[in-house]
Amino acid sequence: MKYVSHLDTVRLFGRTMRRAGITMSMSQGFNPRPIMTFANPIGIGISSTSELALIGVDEEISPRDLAITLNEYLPDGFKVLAAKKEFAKSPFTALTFAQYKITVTGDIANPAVILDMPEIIMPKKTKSGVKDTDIKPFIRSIFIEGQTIYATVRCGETNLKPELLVEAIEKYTASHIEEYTTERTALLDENLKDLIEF
Amino acid sequence: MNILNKVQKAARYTGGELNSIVKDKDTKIRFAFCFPDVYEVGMSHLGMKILYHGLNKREDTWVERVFAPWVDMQDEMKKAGVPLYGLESKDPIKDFDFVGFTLQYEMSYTNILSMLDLAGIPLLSADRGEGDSFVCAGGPCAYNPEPLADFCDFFLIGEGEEIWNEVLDVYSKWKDDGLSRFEFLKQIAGIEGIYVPSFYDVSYNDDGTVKEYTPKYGFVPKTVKKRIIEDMDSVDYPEEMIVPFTEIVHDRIMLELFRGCIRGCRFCQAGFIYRPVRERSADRLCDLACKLIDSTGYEEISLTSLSTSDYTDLENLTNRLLDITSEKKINMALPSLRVDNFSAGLMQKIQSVRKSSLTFAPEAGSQRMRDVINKNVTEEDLMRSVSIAFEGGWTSVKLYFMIGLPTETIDDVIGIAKLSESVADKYYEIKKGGKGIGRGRITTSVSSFVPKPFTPFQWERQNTIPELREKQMHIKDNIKTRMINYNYHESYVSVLEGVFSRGDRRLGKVLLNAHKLGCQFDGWDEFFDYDVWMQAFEQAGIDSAFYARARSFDEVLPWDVIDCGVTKKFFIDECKKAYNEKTTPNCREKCAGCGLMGKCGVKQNG
Repeated sequence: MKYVSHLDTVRLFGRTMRRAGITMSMSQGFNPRPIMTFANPIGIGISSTSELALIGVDEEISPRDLAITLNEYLPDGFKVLAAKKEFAKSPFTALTFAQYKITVTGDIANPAVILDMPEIIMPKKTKSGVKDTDIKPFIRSIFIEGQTIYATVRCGETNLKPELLVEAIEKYTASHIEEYTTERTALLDENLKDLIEF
Repeated sequence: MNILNKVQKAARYTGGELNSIVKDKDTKIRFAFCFPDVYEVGMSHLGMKILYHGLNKREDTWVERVFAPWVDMQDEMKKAGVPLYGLESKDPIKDFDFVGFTLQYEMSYTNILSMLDLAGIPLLSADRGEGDSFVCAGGPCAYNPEPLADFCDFFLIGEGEEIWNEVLDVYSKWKDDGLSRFEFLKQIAGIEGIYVPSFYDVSYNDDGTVKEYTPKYGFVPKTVKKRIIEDMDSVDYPEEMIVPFTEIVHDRIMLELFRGCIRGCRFCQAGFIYRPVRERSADRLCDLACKLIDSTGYEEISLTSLSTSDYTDLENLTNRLLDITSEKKINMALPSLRVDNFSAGLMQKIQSVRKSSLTFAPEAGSQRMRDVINKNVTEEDLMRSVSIAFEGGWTSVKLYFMIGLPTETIDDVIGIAKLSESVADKYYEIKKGGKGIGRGRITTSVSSFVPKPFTPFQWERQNTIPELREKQMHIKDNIKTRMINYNYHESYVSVLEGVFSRGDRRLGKVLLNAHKLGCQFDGWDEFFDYDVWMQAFEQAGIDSAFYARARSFDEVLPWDVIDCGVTKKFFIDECKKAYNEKTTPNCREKCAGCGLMGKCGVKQNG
């Protein structure tokens, strides 16, 4: 499922809700679309066990029933872990960090040493184009176990993509990474508390 | 290693979509249903959906889907040594029992070769041995199978639902018996609709035309009759359709109202090869619609056929479907409407949920030309339809035309520009003083006529590229209004399409050369290279112009080995009527005697 884009995921949920017989709130306009917002849409090629989305539902249904029903109809590879009622217009402001698990092949040095650098300058995409940016403040913690890197980085308004982190590790350590797969494992608030409540 | 991280739109290659079918890898018959174009195009094809779900009902058979990987994926697959695989199992298709291609357009032929190549299957039928897959093909282009005769072990002519079950039954027993490849082909050669090209010798006259087809063995039929489904209500139709993760070209439920067409436009191959007209009942269609809506969750349903407004029970059907779709907030699309029976009521139904775009196909600019092609619509019909559309709030319509038609004069060509101008005038007349008048848009799309087998125009000379270019420019010079958006294409592709649509089996060499020279995705502008194609012809010592020439009625045609049900006499009569600018009434007004009477369910009015 990691190759399904954000837009395709929104469409998929729309169709799933329709099959499940749950009425979704639709956007107004010429091309009504289901109302669905992701806290931080994940890039193509990255798998995730922790996503947060706001879905507009146009009927009375308990969060528990909604989760159960959706899971009955979602294609393999998608699962609702938990649901709750949310009335805030933008409920994702608490999102501050994301946790990634990056499994690499090739030679990998201890990536934590990059935090000893005074700064980590990387070409980072910003609203006004690609800019050399110090990404050190965006990295909260990083450690390695065997060939697996665990990293907690900024997510949300300020955001660090895991691809850029891997590039930084390659640039600043004596690593030669051949290939890697990335999984998002948690979305956290500023106190590192998991935003998804089970 | 995962090559999917390195390619664009990787969701094309993963499988696992809703309603896709996964079976045990030990299933007796493994079948790769191949569409020789990319996922987004192939997944939009109704025939594949019908056969995929229909044949997968068999316990002994697992049908999987295979599409042409885009060039980036082909490169990665070659680098990583990954052969072409079935989307469901990811197993290499060279280990499958059948590798079947659907032939929807001639310009996909090179993709067949690149897919076989990528699969590691010998390209030439003659090079395949015991244990290799059987490569076969069906679909509309299979009505002239000859250009692909060197590559396919057999062809299926006509509608696939029943014939495939017969072929699979024979195969299952043949596999148990452990007989030879030849023996299997021999056994299926007796099934109506199966054409085994290697069982025929073809001889040629000194002028290069075909002399005759001779069956090599006593068990081979002289001509191969197409297969048709007689009862559309009892034949399988999928109650589930695969819902792709990624957006495809026709991303909606397709509900097939009927096959065949009552009209008999003389350029239209579909109008003849899919005869006779056979409709599904409104009851069956409503039932299917409900089931498909529930199983897919799609937000749009499209009523498909060759000419939707000719469905006899359309009023009742659309009313009942609207009850279903409006309650579930589903859009209903009605493509393929004709200008002579387009009504305000019908228009309201299309727009009741969402406004779809409106397309009309007058096909020709002058009444004379429309009579020649037997389109049987008038300028008044068109004006009435666009008036209804503009009055109903539409601001843009699309108009489809063709140039290069038989007997065409420059006046006929300029008529396309004039007719488009008249539509624009009608728009201003109706919207005068109205708000947003500037939003009006008329799209005039002009394509180049390609003579097709099994049409009254199968003997016609095809226009050359300079002739077509001149006509295109004439239209351009005669369009004055800025509101008209004039679309046309360089005609290189049409000319090549004409060669392969009416080609013989000597063209196999050209295809092979073109493949070796790197031709593929010829239907895509960014890949099509006319010069390379000309090189492929030259290397084979074949002049492409030979295939564009006019033929005489008594010439043996390469597709005479196929019997499409409509008689040659009928085609000749129709062709002569075209020259005399005489029209033929539609099948409901009066039976024209095409040769299918007895199998045909059309009732004449009055």
